[in-house]
Order: sequence, then structure tokens, then C-alpha cells
Amino acid sequence: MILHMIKKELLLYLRRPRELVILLLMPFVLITILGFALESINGQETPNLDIKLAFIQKDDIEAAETNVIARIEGLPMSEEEKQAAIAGIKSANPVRILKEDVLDSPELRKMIDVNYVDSLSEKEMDRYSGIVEIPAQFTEQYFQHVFFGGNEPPEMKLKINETNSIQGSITKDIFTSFQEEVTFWTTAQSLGINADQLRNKMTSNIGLTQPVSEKKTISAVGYYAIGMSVMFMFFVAGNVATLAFEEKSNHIFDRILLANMPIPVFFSGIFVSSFVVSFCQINILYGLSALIHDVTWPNLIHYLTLSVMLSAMVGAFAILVSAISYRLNSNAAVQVFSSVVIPMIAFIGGSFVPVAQLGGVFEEISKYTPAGAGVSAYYKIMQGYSLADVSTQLIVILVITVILIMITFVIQPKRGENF
Amino acid sequence: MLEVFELTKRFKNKEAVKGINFYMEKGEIVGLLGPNGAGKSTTISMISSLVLPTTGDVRLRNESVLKKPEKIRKVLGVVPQDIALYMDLTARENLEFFGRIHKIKKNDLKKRIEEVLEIIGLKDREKDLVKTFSGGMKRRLNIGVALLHEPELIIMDEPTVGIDPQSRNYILETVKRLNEEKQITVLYTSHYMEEVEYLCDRIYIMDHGEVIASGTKDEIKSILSQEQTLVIQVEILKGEFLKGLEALPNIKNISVNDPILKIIVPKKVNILNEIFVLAGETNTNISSVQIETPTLEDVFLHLTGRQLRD
Repeated sequence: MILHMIKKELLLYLRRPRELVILLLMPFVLITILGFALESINGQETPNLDIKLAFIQKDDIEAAETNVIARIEGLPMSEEEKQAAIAGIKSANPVRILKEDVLDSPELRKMIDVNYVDSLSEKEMDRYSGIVEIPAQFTEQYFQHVFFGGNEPPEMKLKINETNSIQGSITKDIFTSFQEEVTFWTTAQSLGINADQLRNKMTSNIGLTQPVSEKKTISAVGYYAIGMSVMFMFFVAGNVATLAFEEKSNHIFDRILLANMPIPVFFSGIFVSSFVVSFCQINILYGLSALIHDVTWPNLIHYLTLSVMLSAMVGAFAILVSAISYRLNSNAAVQVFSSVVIPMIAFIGGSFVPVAQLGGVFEEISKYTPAGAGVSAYYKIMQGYSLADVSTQLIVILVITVILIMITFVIQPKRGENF
Repeated sequence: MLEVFELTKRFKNKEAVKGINFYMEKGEIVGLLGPNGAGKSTTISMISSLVLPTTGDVRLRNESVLKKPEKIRKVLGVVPQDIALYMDLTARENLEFFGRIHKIKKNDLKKRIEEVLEIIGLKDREKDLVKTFSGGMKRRLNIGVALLHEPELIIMDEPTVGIDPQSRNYILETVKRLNEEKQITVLYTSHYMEEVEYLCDRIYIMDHGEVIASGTKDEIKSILSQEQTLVIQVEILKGEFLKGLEALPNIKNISVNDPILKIIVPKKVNILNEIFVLAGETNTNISSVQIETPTLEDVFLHLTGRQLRD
């Protein structure tokens, strides 16, 4: 029986171009428009921050290295230990690392323009987001501290231009991170600990820390493919409920009852039909997005699992709205659902604006809403997270589905009622 | 075959059906007449198990069907007043869908659909979407769906509303043929008295939720056996002539369908003289006068004070 209901429902969809436009064409057009319009905000390209950094180096690092190497060679150490220390000097010179490995790295070169200067006037300083100064004798004092102890470690100077707050803040973060790394290495070295071994041991003890940058970045088109698809899935529930109410208003439902179809089976048919339609819809939308916008999924099984669960939730919404409209004997419930409830849950769920940008309570509430759970789960799965990482969202979707089905079961029309 | 005992349906503020009783023998065509709001549709819904009665019972072959509606649903076909079809499916797809939900097996259904399409005369349009059909064709398919599972009893709720005379005749002939050839019992409601007169063996007349008359056509007509109907056609109907007629003694009922007047008077009374005098006094030219025995329409008017289509 349910198979025939699904077949009928799909035929009705195929023959109603307006519904097809709403469910397939409209979301796809919105994905394209919103995605391209907002690519610059949420895009995968690194934003052009245009940071200008002045680098004043008063230290002669080559001369300092030569002096330190000469002192090491005079120490009472084995030849092997001496060679290891000399190699360490060449490879662990903080000024060299800062210049060559940090500031000259491909990532930072895109956003930081470094000017090496001898000095700057007050007026010239305003043109820069930050000024780095390596004081004279920095390298020598640094290695003195590392290998021979005694003195305080020297300091690099960083001046931030407060008028460029974003650029200044990013410059400060880069140097803070660099400084922490150097301090860690220096301290370990001065205590006679092998820093690399220590780091490996710490990593194995506390588990692998996954940097965010290793996960796939989602483009604006990708984000809106998720946002719009999830929102328009709910319109399937509205459309199916409209069809269901039409069946009641023109007495097809009476005919179905007279064929001895139990009411729960009828509603199960609506549930499964909505499930199938929304599952087809989401796959067509993501299929088109993959073909045209290159929106892809790292793990298809994860994507399909989530899509199945979301489609089931759409089915649960469809039967609930249908049951309410049957109970009220009015299409008003469907209209309210389609024109008020769906836009509301889509907005809270982040279909229009990424909720992370809004933050706070809003972001927290969003996770527990039907669309919010769907959008954030799809987002994470698209980034490459596993199903375990989105277990909270999956549980939310499952709980909502079960609750909706239970409510429907309670309020569904009963046999012989004059509904 | 079917009996209805003291059937009552009370809604919040209104008693739609007030303890009605009736029966149907196998193979009969029974008419259920009544103006809008008489309680016909509620009665039909209760018989077909879609609405539970407040009190009373519906029995199929002496067995109550209120607690076990499956029994009546198996043998019952309902043709609702509305076109209860999917407009965006073809005729065949509609028949297939309703056939399958009636659990008719695939091969049997194929044969049955062919038979039904022949009966309702839509074989050549089976692949067309229902929304492209004329009103008459939709009505025929509406009947066809009710015939799919070969019901023994069919309830037809105004199956000819809003269609052309040809389609109407086709439907009437189809009902007659089904009744004669397959002994299908039919409960037929209509606003068209001539349909009921043509089809029905017995008639129940309902008004304000009650059965106010019942019996064969002749039995019902005999309610007015002591009366006769004068059908008077005038050239121009004047108000003073009508007022004068209403003031005449012995006139039981006047219905006006300008320029024709139907007057029910006792058989024994000769009132023609007085009518002609009144016409002379009011300068009304009478074109023709006919004396008729009462029709069902006259009986209905007499009993309810309303035309059937009011």
C-alpha cells in the first residue's frame, strides 16, 4: 500500500511544475546567487589584509654565529657533541628562522609585505602595521643564554600600529606564537632536554591535536548549498502536507479510508513519501552543486547517513503538519508552516547567515533546532569530520523526529470522527 | 441487506440527523431526497462508516457494522458528491491507485480496470490526465473508482451535479444497467426529481434531519392523491393576480416559475371558474391551463414547503 502511495506522490510531483521549481530550481538559483555574492566574506581565498611590516635588524647574525662557534670549539666536549651544537646554532638561529621560515613563508607572504630597513623616522612609522627590531648582539646573547647560561635572554622588539587594529592584531599573534616556540626550545635546551623528543612525547601522551587548517575549507557556495538545501527540504514537508490536505478536502481521504486503509498506514505513506521526495531532492541539489559549483563531500557514507536522517525528520514534519491540518480541517496549518515556521527555523539554523558569525546564545540555540543541527552537521561532514564528531547534531535530529512522530500519533484523526 | 435503526448524529449545537430508520433490500435502487441541509450527507457518511453516529445502529445483513466497519467497506462503493480523484494523474493511474489500495491483485486489477473503463466509456481517454476531462467524464470516472472492487452496494451522492444532459443520461443508464445486470443495490441521492423517478424503486424524503415520507413512487404520490395540480401559463404575471390566487380558498400550494404557475388544489373542488374571473378582473391573459396528477416534485413541495433545489 505504502509503495503505491509513494508512486502516486512522485507522479503528482512530476506533474506539478510549480512544486518542482520550488523544490529544485529555486534553491539551486539561491545557492548560486548567495554563494557568489558572499564568496568574498566566507570564501576559501585568504583575505587580502595588506599588512606592512618594517624589519630593522641591528644584529650581525653571521658574526655572532662565528663567535659562538669559536667559543664552543674551545669547550671540553667530545667532537660529536661539538658538531651537534654547531649544527644547532645554524639551524636554530631565531632571527634566521623568523626571516626565512616565518615571514618568507608562502602563506604569510600573501598577506605581509616585509620591508627591511636600517631605521625609520616617526612619519615613516605610521605607514606600517608593525615594526620589528632586532637589537644589536641579539644572536650572541641568545646563544650565550642557551649554551652557557647566566644572562637573561635577549628580546626582539615589536611595535604595533594601533590605528590598523586587525592588521596589528594579526602581526602580534604571529610574533606571540613565534616567541612561545622559541622560548619553549630555549628553555628545553638550557635544561639539557631534547626539545624535539619532548614535543613528540607530549603529542603521544595528549593525543594528536588536529589543527583546523588541515580540515577542508568550505566556500561560500558550499555553505549556501548546505543552507539552502536544508531549508528547502522543509518545503517538501509543506508541499506534501498541502497534497495531503487536498486529499481530505476533495474526499480522496474518505475513499482511502473506505478501502480499509488504517489511518496510521495512511500517515506512514505520507511519511515515507516525504522521506523519498526530500532524499531525492537533496541528492539532486548536491549533485548539481557538485557538477556546477564543485561542492563535494569527503566521505559519501557520512553524507548519506546524515541525509537519510534529515529526510526522516522532514517526513516527521510532513505528517505532523498534515495531522494538524486534518484535525483543524483547514489548510491554515500548512500555510503557517510554509510561510512562517520554515523561514524562522531556517534563519535560526543558519541557512541565510552562518550562525558562528552571530555567536553567543544564538549560536548555542541554533545547534538544537531542526535546521541548525542539519546545517552544522552537513558543514562539519563537508569539512571532513566524522559521524562521531557530529553525534550531537545526529541525536538532536533523531530526538526531534521521534517527538514529531509521537505527537502525530496522538493527534491524528481517529476513525469515525467528524473531522 | 442494509438496515438503519434510530440513527442520530448530534454536532456541537445542532442535531443533523434525528433518529431516522430505513432499509434497503438487495438489488433495490433507493432514492434519498431532501433539500440542502436535510441531513442526507451525514446519513450517507454514517452508513459508509466514515462518521460514527451519536446513537443508533447500521446493520449489514443483520450484523452491526459500527464496531467492525471493515465488513461494510468490503461490499460498499461510494460515489461522493465531489470529484474525489487525483487531477494530475491519468484515468488509468487513478484506477490503478485506488484498485491497489483496495488490495486487488495486480493481474485481477488489470482486467477489472479494462471492465470499468468499458462501463464508464472512458477507454479511449484512459491515458489522459483527469484535469483535461469534461465535467461529465470526471463524474463517470468518479463512479468508475467506486466500482473497482465490485461492490454489492453503491451509495451515490448526487452523481450528476453540474454536467451536460448527455453525460447525465449516460450515468443514469449506467446505474440502471449495473442494477439490472449485476444486482447491485444503490442508494441514490439527487436534486433532480426526474432522475429519482426514473431510477428508484423506493424513496425516502428527508427534511431537517428526519425522514418525513417513504415508500414506492406511487405510495409517495398517493400522499397527494386527494389533490390535483393546475399548471397555468399567463402572458404577463401580475402581482394582483398572484395575490388574488393566494387569497382563494382551497388552494393548498402555489409555486411560481414565471410565467408558469403550479397550483395544488383538492380534486373535488372546481376552482377554474374563480381563476378565470380573477384573471379578468386583473387584466391577466391566460395562455393555457393543464390539469395534472401530482408529481414527486409536487409531493416534495407539499411536504417540505421547498423546491428540491432550494
